[in-house]
Amino acid sequence: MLLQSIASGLLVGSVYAIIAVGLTLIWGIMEVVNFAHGSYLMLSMYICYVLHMLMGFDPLLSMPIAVVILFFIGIGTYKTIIFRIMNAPMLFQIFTTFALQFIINYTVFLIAKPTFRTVKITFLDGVVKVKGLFLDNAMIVSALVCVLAFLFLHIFLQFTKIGKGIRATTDNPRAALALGIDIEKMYAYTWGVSLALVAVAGAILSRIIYTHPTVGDKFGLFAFVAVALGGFGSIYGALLGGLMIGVVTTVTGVYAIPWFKLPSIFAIFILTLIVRPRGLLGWK
Amino acid sequence: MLMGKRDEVNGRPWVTWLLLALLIFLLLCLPLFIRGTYYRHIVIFTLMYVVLAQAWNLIGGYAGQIALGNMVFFAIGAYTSTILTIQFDLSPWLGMWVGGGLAVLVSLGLGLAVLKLEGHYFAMSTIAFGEILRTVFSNWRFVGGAQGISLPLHSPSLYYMQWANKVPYYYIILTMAVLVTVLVFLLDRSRFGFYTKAIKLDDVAARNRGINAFKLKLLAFALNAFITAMVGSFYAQYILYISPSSVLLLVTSILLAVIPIVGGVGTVLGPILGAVFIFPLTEFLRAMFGGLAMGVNYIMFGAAAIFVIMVEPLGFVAMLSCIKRWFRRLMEEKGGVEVEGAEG
Repeated sequence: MLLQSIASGLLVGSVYAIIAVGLTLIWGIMEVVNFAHGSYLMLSMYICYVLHMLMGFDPLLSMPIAVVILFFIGIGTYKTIIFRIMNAPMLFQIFTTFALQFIINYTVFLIAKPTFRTVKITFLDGVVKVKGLFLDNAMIVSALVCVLAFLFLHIFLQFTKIGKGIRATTDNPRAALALGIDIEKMYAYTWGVSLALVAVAGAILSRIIYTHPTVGDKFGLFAFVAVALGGFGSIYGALLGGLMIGVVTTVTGVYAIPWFKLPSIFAIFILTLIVRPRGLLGWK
Repeated sequence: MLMGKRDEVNGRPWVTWLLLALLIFLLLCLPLFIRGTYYRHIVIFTLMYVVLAQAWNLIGGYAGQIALGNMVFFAIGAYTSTILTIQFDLSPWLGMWVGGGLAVLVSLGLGLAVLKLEGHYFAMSTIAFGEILRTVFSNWRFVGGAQGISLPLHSPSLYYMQWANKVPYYYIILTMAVLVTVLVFLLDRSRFGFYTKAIKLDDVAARNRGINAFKLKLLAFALNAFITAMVGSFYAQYILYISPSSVLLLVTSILLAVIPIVGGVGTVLGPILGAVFIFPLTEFLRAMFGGLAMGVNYIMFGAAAIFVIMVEPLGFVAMLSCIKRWFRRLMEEKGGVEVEGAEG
């Protein structure tokens, strides 16, 4: 039973992880917390829903489309709004992203109405039995997609020119600027990549849960917890944090009272901040 | 002392006092002019938001700590006085103070734990705390769970803070708004105001001068909690129904910060201007858009916040001082009185 819940937890956690990685990328490079992160997740879910309604696409098929759209939305968000607040006080940075959250969520609310919408897909239904554990087919595929996305990110950051530029800017923006790296461009790309990752998670989630205008908020908060657990700005930390959240939610859901899930995660979050303000794996 | 000097430089302190007296007189007479129940309700809610925004301004504007869980204190105030009234037949007038005290205790506990964290971390831990409390209250039978509690109706009585019309509520919340505004005004001109401004200008230099930033932040947080809880009790008595989804929402906590930001963060006038602008407008939009109003309102909050942040970081207060300067220049041209303008 414990093994079973841990296994399911890891599968769910991979989705949290991919959301958290996007959040931590932005935090790492510009110390801006994007409180609208969950809203972009919701946007991706709606894109998949609309494509499903119009063309009958499976969200897994719409995923590349959502990724491309959100990549450009990310760059657009940076170029229109975020770059103006780079040097603003933290209060204003926080409330700019909250304002974005309000505007995105409730614009969708006005257009789509607060109806709970669901994508009905039977492809990949069923469970598979691996060494005595029952695993949901769809969840396995989701986890695989997340792993793939993470591998892509790793290769992108490690080997491509833009990726190297992003890493250099994260380490030291001034030095990067001195070396001729266009750091403005790197910030824009980071926003693009961050939202592209969230698009992947959104496509996966639109198959599993209901889509509605404020669906992303909870995931956004969970992503913060994952980021805090893993250490702010650390990509691998966020991955680990996401997986931990997945396991904690499933295990407390099974062994304790079901509604304990949320408080336990937030309690872990506050305790982590108190004991290790830089995160469990933080090093600064 | 410094402020007294500046007032002299600004000239005509009696004009300010006269205007203030006139304003208070008008506010006292307001129920005579505004007779509709609905409009009275709007005025009461606007004043409620004035008080709540002033409270947030203490911790968020002055102490510079972005608290995003103020509804926690609001809920503590609302639930404490309500439960005390129902279980022990205690008057809400007393329950208010119990709620306020409890909120102070909670804020001190939370503050001691997380006020040492830097900016974002503090903000996020207050969000987390609020979410924990919301989930616990939604599942806790004793406090009514997700359904919340309805207060039993009594015939109009001072003891139960229940009246048939809205006028007494108006005077209660008006008193609170005036008291809290005076308190913030005094704090702004006291050591608290100077120290917090010094901390915001240069944290390290202020600390080297021997300013205990942590103590100030804790004080601001506790005061904020106390005031917010008092308003919470008032809200429970006024609406007579509370539930986690009405008094413990994260968006409301965020809204409490948006009001002073739009008005002018870290100023005495800011929260007042913000609330007076935002709340009646939301009601107007609600009348216009009906069921979709919630969406329109939040988009407006977002747009207003982004506009203020991008264009005029001091919000309405800056615009007001702009108008004041223009007005003064007009007066000077007419009367030829030379006044050295040291702007505040």
